[in-house]
Amino acid sequence: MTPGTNITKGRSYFSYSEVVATPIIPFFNSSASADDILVINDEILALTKQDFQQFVADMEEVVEKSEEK
Amino acid sequence: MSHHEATEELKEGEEKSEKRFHLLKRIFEEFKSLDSDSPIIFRGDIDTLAREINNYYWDFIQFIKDSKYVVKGKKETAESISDDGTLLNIFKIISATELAIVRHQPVKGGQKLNAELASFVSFYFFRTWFKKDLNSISFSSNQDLNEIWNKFMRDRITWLTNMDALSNFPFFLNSQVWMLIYMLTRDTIEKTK
Repeated sequence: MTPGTNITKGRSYFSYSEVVATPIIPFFNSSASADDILVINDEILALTKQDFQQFVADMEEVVEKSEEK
Repeated sequence: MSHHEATEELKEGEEKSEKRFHLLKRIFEEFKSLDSDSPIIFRGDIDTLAREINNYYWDFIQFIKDSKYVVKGKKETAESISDDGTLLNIFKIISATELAIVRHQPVKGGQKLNAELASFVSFYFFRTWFKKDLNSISFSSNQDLNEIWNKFMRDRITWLTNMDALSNFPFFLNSQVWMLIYMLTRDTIEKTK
């Protein structure tokens, strides 16, 4: 065990490099460039709109509830 | 770099910028079509505003590349995340894009509406970066995801609403927030599969 490292007493501590350097990154497009990924996809756009509208509705409900108190 | 290589790089940069402009413009139009109590009105032609914001974004990206804050010459790929964090990954792209929108305030009706537009654009970018199969997940119909995203969106819209992006451009900090929400979303999806 080397003093000063992030591994002491058999315990592995969280470190930035461990997280970002993990080779398996689930559900990431890993072979294309941003130009190929950041394009119009009608299906995703529809989902984004649906989720965003739901978010706005949820927030309005939160405001109404807090105003009622 | 030879003259030919420089010309090619310039041409590639222009093509990327043009593609991103069309994407931004389309998302602005979709935002305008959202159901709302009062109509969403842009303070000018969407084409011109999207062009303005897109130009600002690429100028800013060029600035940080020139300043060596990110590694020059590396492509914006999702693989960037597995590198040393100095690359121009999706989180930095999202960060700079939404801050550029907030800076330009393209929508009439106050800063909150512009913060919502910026969040809408970044939410689309974020979702697009995922693989297609997971994009079929509706965040709002998944209770765990909905809770995370509602809190996240509410707080960041408040933050973006109150930020003066003319004098404040927290590009790196903002990109770290997006990286964290990505990790949280990823773990939640994995757990609820």
